[in-house]
Amino acid sequence: MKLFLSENPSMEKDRHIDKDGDPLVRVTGMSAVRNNSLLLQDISFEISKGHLVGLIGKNGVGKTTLIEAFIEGAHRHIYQGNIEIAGKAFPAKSIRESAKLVAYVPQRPNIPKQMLVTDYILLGRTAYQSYLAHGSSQDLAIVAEVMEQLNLSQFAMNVMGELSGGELQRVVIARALAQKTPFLILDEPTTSLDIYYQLAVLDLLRRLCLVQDVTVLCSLHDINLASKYCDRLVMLGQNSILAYGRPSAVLTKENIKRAFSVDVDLHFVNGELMVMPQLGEEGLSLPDSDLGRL
Amino acid sequence: MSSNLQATDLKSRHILYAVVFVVAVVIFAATTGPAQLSITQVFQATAMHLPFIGRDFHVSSLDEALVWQLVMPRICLGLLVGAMLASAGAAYQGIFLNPLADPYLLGVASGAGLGATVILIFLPVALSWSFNPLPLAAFFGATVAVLLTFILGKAAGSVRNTSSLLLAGIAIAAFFTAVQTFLQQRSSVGQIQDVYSWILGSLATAGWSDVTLILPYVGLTVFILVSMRRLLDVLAVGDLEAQSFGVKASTVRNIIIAAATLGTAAAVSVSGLIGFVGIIVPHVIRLIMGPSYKRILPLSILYGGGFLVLADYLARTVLYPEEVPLGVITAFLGAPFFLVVLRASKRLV
Amino acid sequence: MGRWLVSFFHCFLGADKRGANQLQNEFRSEVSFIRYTYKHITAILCVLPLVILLAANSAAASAKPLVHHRHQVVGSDGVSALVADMAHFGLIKQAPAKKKSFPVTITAGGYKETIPTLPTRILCLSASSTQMLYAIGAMHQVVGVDRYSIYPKSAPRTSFTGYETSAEDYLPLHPDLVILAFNESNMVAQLNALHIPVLVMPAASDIHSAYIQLLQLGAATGHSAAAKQEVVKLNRALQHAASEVGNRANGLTYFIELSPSPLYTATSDTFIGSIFSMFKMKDIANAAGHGSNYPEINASYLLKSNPDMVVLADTICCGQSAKTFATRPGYSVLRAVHTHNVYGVNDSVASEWGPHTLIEFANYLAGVLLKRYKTMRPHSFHVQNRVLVHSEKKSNLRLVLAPAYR
Repeated sequence: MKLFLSENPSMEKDRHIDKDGDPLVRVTGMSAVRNNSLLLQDISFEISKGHLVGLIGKNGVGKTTLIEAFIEGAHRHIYQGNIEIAGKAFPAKSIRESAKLVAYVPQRPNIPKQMLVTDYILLGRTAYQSYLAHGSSQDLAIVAEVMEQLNLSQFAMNVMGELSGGELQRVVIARALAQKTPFLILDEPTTSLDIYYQLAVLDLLRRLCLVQDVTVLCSLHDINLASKYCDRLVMLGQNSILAYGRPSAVLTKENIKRAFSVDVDLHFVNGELMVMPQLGEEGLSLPDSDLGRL
Repeated sequence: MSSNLQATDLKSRHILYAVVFVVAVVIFAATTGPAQLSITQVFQATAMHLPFIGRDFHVSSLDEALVWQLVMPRICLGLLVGAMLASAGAAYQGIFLNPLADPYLLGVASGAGLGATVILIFLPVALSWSFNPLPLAAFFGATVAVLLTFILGKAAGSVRNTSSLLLAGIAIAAFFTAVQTFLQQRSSVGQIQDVYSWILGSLATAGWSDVTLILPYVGLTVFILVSMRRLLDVLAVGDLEAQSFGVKASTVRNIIIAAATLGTAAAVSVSGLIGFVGIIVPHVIRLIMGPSYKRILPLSILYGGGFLVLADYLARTVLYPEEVPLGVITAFLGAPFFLVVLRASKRLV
Repeated sequence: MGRWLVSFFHCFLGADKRGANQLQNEFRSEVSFIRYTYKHITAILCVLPLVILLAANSAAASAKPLVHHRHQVVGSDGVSALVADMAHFGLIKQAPAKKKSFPVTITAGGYKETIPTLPTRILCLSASSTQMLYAIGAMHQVVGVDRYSIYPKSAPRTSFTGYETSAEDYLPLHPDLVILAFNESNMVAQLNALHIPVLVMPAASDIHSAYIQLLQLGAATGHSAAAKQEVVKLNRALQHAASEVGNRANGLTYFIELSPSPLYTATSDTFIGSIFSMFKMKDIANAAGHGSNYPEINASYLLKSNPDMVVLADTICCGQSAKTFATRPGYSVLRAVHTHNVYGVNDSVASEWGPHTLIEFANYLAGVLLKRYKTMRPHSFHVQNRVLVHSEKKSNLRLVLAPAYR
């Protein structure tokens, strides 16, 4: 089921198209250069509407750079290439319009500890609010709806500093959802959460895709969770896409070896793919020469 | 469920309370002054000058001059300057994410001080001209200082880094203060007193010309700050996230700093350096109303104006007929009140 | 509580009053309130032993106090009484040998100083003392005066301000007597260490203390007789001015402006105020003199009290005139404005009180009062004042500017 098109290598090289979906996000010829170092080179792929797409790859290959390509701002100038979201060019004409296309959950969000949860989620509505008007009841209704959806209603009048890590992650996602964008990107949303909250967050993303037809791109560390929850995976090698497609097609022994420099065994447990690192003697996986890379 | 969610924006009753406070303070300050005029006299003297009422109420010309030429401009200027300093203080605190930020942070004070010193020392005759260049010079000095702070801050650090701007502000302030001290050192005793009195800040010699001079600046600044109040909240999550909400943080910062500086420079140019209003008023509101600038900023404008009118009322009445420097009153009044609120508040600071 | 608050305010307020030299030097050094109060404590600690010494001295002698006629001109026989009093209280102590007038010990400005021999190289850093030295004929002993000593013109002016921090600065002139207006930078101790006698002559707060300073300067420079004569002459001139005006200005109110913004003034407990008191005029600022004799007052109070006469002593520092005064918001309703009794004078009349300035201002004021007292409060003068003794003295008003309104 690999959708890696290689029939016409000269023209279609590295064009990662999802044939059986309705493409919502289309990235063409994306490169990123900062301080003369190449961070991303000529990346092209498409994401279908309603899909949960996982972005995997070794640390430092450009996952965060790729994710930040979907935020308009001061670093826009490092990117080349085109992005199209829901038929509209990104970045849009104004930064406010762009904010109506993509919502973003950073890996380590800045949490204003004294801010009320409601106020924080309302920040997601900024792009919709006029400068002078009093806060509209429509924005408030959307915030209430999102809070109910993520089971946060009881925290409405709490300040952010009083919430636990898992609650905070939900609040940040709620903020992104309040933006009511067709496309949602998350930078490692499960990092620093224990397994219960990791599953809770991924369940939530999955549900959003299924029920609300939201399209999600999120970078993940855990290959097994990625394979279990994601519709498609983007495997990032050094500055470029190594593989794109369904998890079962992307997660081959060879791809994982190329992407992560790790030898793995693939197991199928109840029909689900399980990636297990090969443990050598004395429980070591990596050759001694790799220790210096830590 | 959704109906249970309370709006966190400023509620109209909060505005109403603030407006009632301001109106009460203005009436109190206008009518209970040591001039011992009756409330009717004050109202009649004022009404004589208001459009559409403008009829003669047989108030003596001395009483009328007292009310209309001395007390009223002072109150109006107090409202404008107080509103300006408090809202600029709130804005700076939001921009720099620093509770100690005040309107004089980026060199406004030292720049205005230098501008005023230059006039007071080199052009003392100018004080008798029909067009008084002192406010203009103070305004010019303040804006030049802040512009230099910006240039230096941009050169020293990246666009997002507000701490380089803060450090540049400290450097510029030190430099301008040094120049001012040098000039002061070279001048005569009487001039030093004039400079010193100016620095202490006062509304004692306010006239309608001062009010009309700063009204456009204060109006523009207040309009900009009010329209940017939500964006100040957004800045709290950092530049990258702010951008994902459709807010260009650096642009917002530049606009707000420019507006707040312009307004502060205008206020300082007619009233001198009045301390504490810019820190205490926004903080007291923050402690009571929470940290959102949706509430802090509009209320700072109203309560800041009211607070300064009240402080100025005390400045001219506590030791009547002597004047007490306004800065002494604002600190005397503000600091203990602030401590009380700080203690009473259960919120995180 | 109220009183406590008032006095508390005053300990802050003293620092920003515009006033005579002794207050002015506070400005010069530091803007800090804390230093101000600290200085006062040290000043009190310094003066305390002296006060005790003086008290013990007087108790041993007799209970006759040194009468301080604040607002009065001392009578002609009072001058000799004054001289006797001064010797009695140790303000001037001459050598026991009758013929010799040196060494002489003088206690001035809270400092006791012995001048061993007749000084021939005097450095005078006090504008009013410069005037006095010239009046008593000590001009040939003066080698330098400060830059603020504007009268007389022929005085050997230097660039010194009196705020020099090191006594070394004065050494090139080789002074054998330094006259200071205040002890800034601990200059007295610095000069004493160099064995240079020093006199501290703070700005006199009334006519009486100006006389004392004249006599002390006379004793210090070997011109005691001339000083006594000068005091008699001054006193006579002032008495003459006072008697010419008589009761005509009795009860008229006045306002002295020292700076327009902030509105600083002087009470009658100041030197300039004592001249007005001599003519029986009343200072509207007296109600404000809680802490300082140079208070900042409220503009509404000025309007409310509506003085008969306004004297602007801020014509040079701040470019004020009767015209600018009248155009200030609300001031046009003042009686002094529409009776044209607003007078601009040289700023120095408020801070420098040499004999020259003193007589000139007193004569000027007497002239104005004689000529215009009727206009000042039109309704309160009656038939008995109709006969106006018109003694127009053509005084050479070099320091006093002509009034803007004739």
